[in-house]
Formats: sequence, structure tokens, C-alpha cells
Amino acid sequence: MSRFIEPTTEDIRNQKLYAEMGLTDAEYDKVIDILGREPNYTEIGIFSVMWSEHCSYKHSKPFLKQFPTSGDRVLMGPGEGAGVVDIGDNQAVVFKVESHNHPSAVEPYQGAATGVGGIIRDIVSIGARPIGLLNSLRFGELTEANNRRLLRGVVSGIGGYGNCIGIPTVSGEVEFDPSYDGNPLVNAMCVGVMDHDKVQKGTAKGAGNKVIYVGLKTGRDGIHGATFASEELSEESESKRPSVQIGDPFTGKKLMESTLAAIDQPELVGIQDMGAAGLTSSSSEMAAKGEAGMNLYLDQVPVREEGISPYEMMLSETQERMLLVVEDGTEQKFLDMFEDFELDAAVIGEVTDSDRLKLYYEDELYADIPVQPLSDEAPVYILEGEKPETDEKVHDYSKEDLNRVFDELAGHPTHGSKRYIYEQYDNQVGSNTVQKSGFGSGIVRVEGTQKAIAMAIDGKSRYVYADPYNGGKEVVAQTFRSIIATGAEPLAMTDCLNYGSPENPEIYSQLEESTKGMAEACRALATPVVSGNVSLYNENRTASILPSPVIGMVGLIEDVNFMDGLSIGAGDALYLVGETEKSFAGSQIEKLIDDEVSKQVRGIDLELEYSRGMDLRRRLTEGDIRKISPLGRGGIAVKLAQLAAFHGLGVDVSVDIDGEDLFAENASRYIIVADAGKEIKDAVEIGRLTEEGFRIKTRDAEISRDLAEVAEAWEGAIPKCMTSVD
Amino acid sequence: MKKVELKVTLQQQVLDTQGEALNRAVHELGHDEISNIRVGKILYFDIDETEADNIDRIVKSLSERLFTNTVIETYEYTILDEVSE
Amino acid sequence: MKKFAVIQFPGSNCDRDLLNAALKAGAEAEFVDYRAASLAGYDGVLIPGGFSFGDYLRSGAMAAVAPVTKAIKEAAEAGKPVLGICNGFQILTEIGLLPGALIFNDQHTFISRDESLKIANSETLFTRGYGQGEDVVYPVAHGEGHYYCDDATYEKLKAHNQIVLTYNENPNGSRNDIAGIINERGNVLGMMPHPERALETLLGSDDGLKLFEEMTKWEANHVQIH
Repeated sequence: MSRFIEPTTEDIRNQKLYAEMGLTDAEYDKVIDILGREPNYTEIGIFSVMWSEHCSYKHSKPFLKQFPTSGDRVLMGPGEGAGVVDIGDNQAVVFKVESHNHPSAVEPYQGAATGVGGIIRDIVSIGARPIGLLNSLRFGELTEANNRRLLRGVVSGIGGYGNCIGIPTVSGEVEFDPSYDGNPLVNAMCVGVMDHDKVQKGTAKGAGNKVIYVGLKTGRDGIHGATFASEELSEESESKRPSVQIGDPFTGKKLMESTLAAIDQPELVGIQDMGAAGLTSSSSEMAAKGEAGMNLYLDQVPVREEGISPYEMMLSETQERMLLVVEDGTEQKFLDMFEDFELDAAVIGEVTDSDRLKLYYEDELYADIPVQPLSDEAPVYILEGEKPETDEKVHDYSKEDLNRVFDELAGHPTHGSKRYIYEQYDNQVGSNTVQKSGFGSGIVRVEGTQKAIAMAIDGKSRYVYADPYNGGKEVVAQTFRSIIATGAEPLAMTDCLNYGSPENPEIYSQLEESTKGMAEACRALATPVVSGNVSLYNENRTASILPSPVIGMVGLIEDVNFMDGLSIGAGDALYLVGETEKSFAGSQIEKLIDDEVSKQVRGIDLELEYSRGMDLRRRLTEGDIRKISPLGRGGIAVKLAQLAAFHGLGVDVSVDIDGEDLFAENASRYIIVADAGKEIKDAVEIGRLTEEGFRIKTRDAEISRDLAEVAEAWEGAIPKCMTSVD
Repeated sequence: MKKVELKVTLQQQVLDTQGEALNRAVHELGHDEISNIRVGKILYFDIDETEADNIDRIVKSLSERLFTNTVIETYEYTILDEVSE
Repeated sequence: MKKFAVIQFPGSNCDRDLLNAALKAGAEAEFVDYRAASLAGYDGVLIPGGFSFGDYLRSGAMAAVAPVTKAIKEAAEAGKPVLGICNGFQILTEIGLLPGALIFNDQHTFISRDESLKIANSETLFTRGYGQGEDVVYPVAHGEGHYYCDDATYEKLKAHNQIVLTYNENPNGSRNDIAGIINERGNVLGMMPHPERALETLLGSDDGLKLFEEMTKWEANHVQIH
């Protein structure tokens, strides 16, 4: 007689309990094939989480395979907790981005906080000390009370975790668009630095070696969180509230410090974060990578309450936990170390030379699953995509009042100052932040060296919707531009693919086309993909989100001291680099005036992108130019507004284009600040920074404003929406 | 064994910013009949003691040493039921 | 050479920054665990920022009853310089070495920014390197930084010239813009802003370096009794 009352194998089959866990009939049959019998409740639970989209990438694997993952500097590509890239002097940078969209929709504070905690543990489990956090956020428009509530909760959750654990949040990007109503995106990225020889893998090897559990005691938190993350949000999600996990940054901090200390011990065999699908994914993935088996004695797992069943224990997503494999006989040393950090820890199992994951509770066997098929034979679905028709719309904004368009865009939360957000994040803890949130990429010095890591995150979903293939390229290129704008050499990237349901043929086609474009851009810009994450089924009650691939990129600055004293001021010349084209599909003026995205080809020349970017980067580090500011949403007009407002400087420029083209958004363009009279390839000098005034002249129109008006609109964009008490 | 409920609130003269914000929110929701919201904390704990005097001594001592900051906070406690063992 | 103790509580996160600041100012510095019973052998004590014990219950509440607290009080008693920054300031008020308390910022959100401050008392052993009324920039990063005290305490602070640092643009609602105060004896300083993050122009400001340099130059016979 079992200690726990659970559904029987017959119940699972007859009542199709596996379907509630997200498995199809065919997947259930495959489990029977693998086991050679019907699965019990614990076993089917394990399969359901390991075969969820979140853990198995069953709809996205073929697309991820297109990405280049190797390069001269790549020390470890995708497959582990995070990617590792050489930065010279036996040091490496470790980074990854991950989504926490669904949990944040249900409980924004905890959803965002645990997203940050999870990505930090991914970096730490490789052996790196985190030096910077970034985030990419998407919400519906702030005119809706619910979106304001989500923004407040997410921002305080990100700050609540990151500030407490003591890692500076140095950059991020936010967009407000109706497509994210009720389905916000919260993508968190963490960057760490470590020595080459300390790189850890999540592997379990050596029969007899001991499995150690450390961190928060296991509770019933987040049961089925991984499958939850792979489902469409519905009215029912409200009732799924217990699924959301609670973050504990204080324990997270102790766990981080103790893990970094454990990694210095030669007797450590492998280590993995217990993230999504908790104990299940960490134990089975470690065993699979070590080509070994594992026995776990679940009655040894530290628990918060009595009576937690093996099923619940294996699926619990209690935060702040790590799983370690250590050499047999050295376990006490590790337990003592964790005791010193005042953390709960216990030996909960051992590595075996079988190929099976066996779970016991007080000598009773609760699961017996072959390790390799659990991870390797997860189903992969290749579906038929359907490209939508492109439309023939002709954009003509020549009759618009461009001063009004300018006011609307410069004062929109997407383009306005993000001070409301980033002032809630500790930007400088660690005392190595050279460039913090506010304008462009984050730059963090590598402690004790002259080197610095530039880090950026970006996404341009309207471009991807307009033209998935070229839009995919542009997202990578846009992030590349942010990195070169710091003077850094782009090294590698990480991606988070946020899309709607892949079962919708148009969405599937978006995935197919955009990842193809991204892969091409990665090759052309020499930024291989070293880690990533996929979040599908981002749907609200009426529609899918815009296809939102988000790119995180890091770059290396060999000697960051060139930035000391680098500044811009009135009298400096402004240059426009790159041809301006009438490119409006996916633009912000199109959003403002037409309220929809037209599906039209967007163009980008990746070779030009690379050579132009690398040339500008060199000029900046050599002191030939003083600022590089890539053009993005809202085109020239919005960029000049941001530059003026952020620096408190006026502009007086004249550009030889049509007025509407001030809002065009074609790729590969920059505004440069330098002395007058410079020869810069493909650039024209367009005017000056001034003490006051804001004036942009074109062939047929002029935008003219007081600097104070522009600054007020830009600074107030978010605060003006957040004043009412919701 | 007794269960104790300890309520900690800011002293009346200390501005309670959380309470103020809640007051505003409640008024925006149209409930002008509500005012003077003060936000506090409640601690629950079991105490292996049954004598009221002893409980009072222990709870007061800990409240003043750790549970509250007497510069800004005030507290009151109630002894709840017997805890079943 | 002066040797300072940098106290590490679980959850401290500016401990390395503070140690580096002391080293940069020319002192020796070591981490000391919160379970230590003695600080004998150290010429001064640095209490770092962060979230000791998670800031659970109340910022600094649990740190205030940790074993090392007794040793910090003894060091203060002996006239050694004690500097508490951010969470360190909160701890100093919790253990009663400094008057008043730190409560939630008025806006109830965390605030992190470069802060313009005024040196309101340039005669302390920490601030002798600055001019009276000099403006400096140190970053702030806190959620509970509103300095609160009653009228009597404020009058006393003023009378004894204990207000050392004030905000030029009050970020949190602190009483009379108070950002940092010193004890009557002049050897225990607490402040919410982070001078240890203002040591290099590359990182935005080097205005904080002088504070650590002065603390390092300090000699026992210089202690001023107000």
C-alpha cells in the first residue's frame, strides 16, 4: 500500500489525465513504448514536463538548428545552462536570456523576480560571477489600467530581486504595443565573468558519486509551471495562481556565494540549477549528459511541509535550489560548506552505472525511467507554415502635420525616457558600471582589469511582423549596432523567441522565416548564438502577440579608459550615416497613423551593416568621433529628440530628405557626434548640437520646438501615465 | 504551548506612506467613507509557555529588541488559542 | 598602516566595493564575519550596504542582534571610526549608535541614481578633506532611505552639528534633507548615499575617495568631542 494516494495507471489511461498535463494521445503511447508498460502518476508527470515546449523545444528545435553556434571565441555553445565566450587572459564571459512571460502575466512581481533569479542561477551554475543584468519588456499601452499594474509589478519584481542579490541592472528596453495586452513579455538576461578553467557542466558521472540538494526547502510551488509556460493564457490562467513560484533573493544570494565557493572544489563533478521542472529536469539532464543513471531517495529531500508526494517533489518549482554531484566520500565537506552559509542541504541520491532514473521514497520505487529516451526521444513536430500575402499599401505621410507626429512619438512611452523604470534598479552595485541604464548599452568593467563588457538587448517585433525574414535579420543587426556604439567588438549572442501558438500556420511561418533571417545575420555579423530560450503560445484572449524574437548580445572593450571624460556638448557637429529610404512598414509613424502593420518587404544589406559598424566602432575607440547613436524606432526625428533631451542639448539640423522621411525606419543608419568637417564614410554632416532650441529642417517641412518642450515630453512619457492610483 | 499574534504598526506621528497611497487609491475607487488607513505587520508564533506573566515578559523583551524598532513602531499582542501538540 | 574591518552579513552586497575603497585609500582592509565576537586589532569599522538578512522584518533589524554588533559598539566606544553606508546606516540606527530611523522612501519605490549632496559639516574626521558646503555627487540606491527623527532629536542633531551630509534634491522624503549624520562624539558616521561607488571619474564621480582617505589618515588624538 503506497504512502501517497494518487491516480492509478488505469485512471491515467481511462481519464486521460496525461492530457491535463499537456501530453497528446500519441505522446502518451510513446511513453508506453519507452517504458514497455503503462506509466504511473509520477512517471507521466516527469514525461509531461520534460516533453513540454519549455524543456524539449518540440516545435522549435528545427529552427534553432539553423543558428551558427561556433566561432573562434566560443568556448561552450548551447546545451548547457548558458554560453561561454573567451575574452582573453584566461577569462570568459557567460550569458543567457530567458523568458518569464506567463508567470509575469499571472503575478507580475513574483513572475519577474523569479525570472531574474532563474537566469542568475543559470550563469552561476556554469561557475561565473554575474556582473550585469538586462531585461526586455513588452506591455500593452499604458492607457489601460491593467498594463500599468503589470508594469509596476514587473519593474518592482525585477528590482526587488536584482537589487537584493546585488547584481547591477545596467540596460534594458521596453516597448508598449496593444499586441501585448494581457500577455506581457518579461525576458531577463544575465552576464557573468569567470576563468576558463572553472567552467562547469551539468553532468552526473561516476557510479557511487553522491547527489546533493542545496537551497530552499521544497514546497508545492509552481507544480506544472513548465507546462503552464507552454500553454495559451486563458481566463483559466487566473485560477492557476498557485502555479506561480515565490522568489527569495536573500537565499538566492547565499546560494550564489556558496555555489561559487563549491565550484572551487576539485571534488565537484557537476552542478545544475533546479529551474523549470525543478528536480526532474536537473536530475535527468545531468544523468543524460553524464551517460549514467541516478537513484534519488526522495524522503531525504528537505521539505517545507509534510506529505509532499514524489510526483509533487519532482515537479515542484520551488526557487533558489541547486543540484550537485560530488565525488563519493567528499559529501560531508560540501554539506559543511553549505551549513556555514546557513543553507539547507542534503545528500539525496547517487550516480549509478545503469541508464535509469530511479526514484525511491522510503524504499518504495516510484519511478523507473530510462534516462536517454526521456531527453532524446522527446517528440519533435514539424508543421506546415503559411506565409501571409504581402500587401500593396502605399505609405504617404506627406500631408500629415509632422510637428504633431513628432510630439506624439517623442512623448510616447516606447520612445520616452525610461527613468521611471531604471531608477528602481540598482545600476551600480559592484562599482564597475561604466555605462548604466538610460541611453544605450550597459558597460561593466571586468574587475581588476582595463577590459569591459558591453551588453545590449533588443527586439523589433513590428519589423518581424511586416517581414519575418528580413525583420529577423534586423533584430540581430539592431543589437549589433547597440554594441558597436559602445566601441566594443561584438562577440556572440543569445536569443529568446517569443511567439504565438506554433499550431497557427501564420505564426509557424513567422518562426520559420524570422529564424532563417536571424541565422543569416548571425553569420554575416560574426555573432554566433551561444544560448537561448523559446516561449511559444503567447496569446491573449483575442490574438497572438507580434512575433517577438529578442536578442541579447555582448561585446568586448579591450581598454575602457578611452571613455573617461568622453562627452558631447554644444557646438559639436551631427552626422547622419546611411541612406534614408521610404521604409514605413513596421514603423512607429505607421502605428500612430494607420494603426496596423503592413506586410511588406523590409531591406537590409548585412555586409554593409558589418563593415559600417566596425568602421564606426574603430573611430570611436580612436577618439575620432565622440558618440554613436543607432537609429531605430521613430527614425531620425525621435533619435534627435532622445539625444537632445537626455543630454540637455539643443539641435539645429537640416536634412536633404522629404519631411515624412524623418520618421522612416530603414536599417543600418546612425547619428554621429564629432568635430565638424570629418570625413566619415556614407555620412553627411547635418548640423550642430546647440545650447537651446530644437529644429530639424527638411526639403518640405520643418520640426521646430523649444528644447524644454522636447525634454518635458520625453521625460514625462511614462510618469504622465503612471500618476493615477490604480 | 500558546499561539501569539503580534501586531506591529508605525507610531501615529510617523508618516505611513503606504497607508497614504492606499487612502488615495480607495478614494479613487469612490469610497470616501474610508480614511486613516495605516499599514502594519502581523507576526504569528508559538510559545512554549502558558503563564501569562512569563509570556508578557518574553514577548515584550523580544518586541523591543528585535520585532519592532521602538523609534518608529509600536506593537500590541494577543494570546490566541492553545496550540495542539 | 591603518587596518579596517569590513563587516559581512548574509545579504551584504557592497562589501567588496567597500573593501576596495579602503584599499584604494591606502588602508589595509579585511572582511569580518557577522559571527565574530571581537574587532580587536582593527583601527576602524566599515559596515557595507546591501540587504542584510534579506531586509526581512525591517532593514537592519536582524543584523542589529548579530554577534558582531557587540564588537561594533565596543569599537565605537573606544573612539574608533565607524562608517555605515546605506544598509550600514540602517544598522547603526537599529543598534542605537545613531539616533532616528530609516523608513520607506515616500514614493514607496526603490531609488537608484547619482545624487547631488552637500557637505554640511566638513569638520568631522571623515569629511575634513571637503570644503564646508561643498557639493559632491555620490550614487544612492535604496528603498528605505527616508531619515526620520522626532523634533527633539532633530534639534539635538542641529545643536551638535551632527548633520554631515544633506540632499540637494531630496530623493526619499528625508527630514530636512538629511542624508548622513554623525554621533555626538564624532566617530560614528552613517549615510544613505554610496561614496564607495564614487571613486573614479570613469564610473561617473570620484567625489567619494576623499572620505576614505580622511578616514585612513585619522589619528586617535584628532577625535573631536563636540
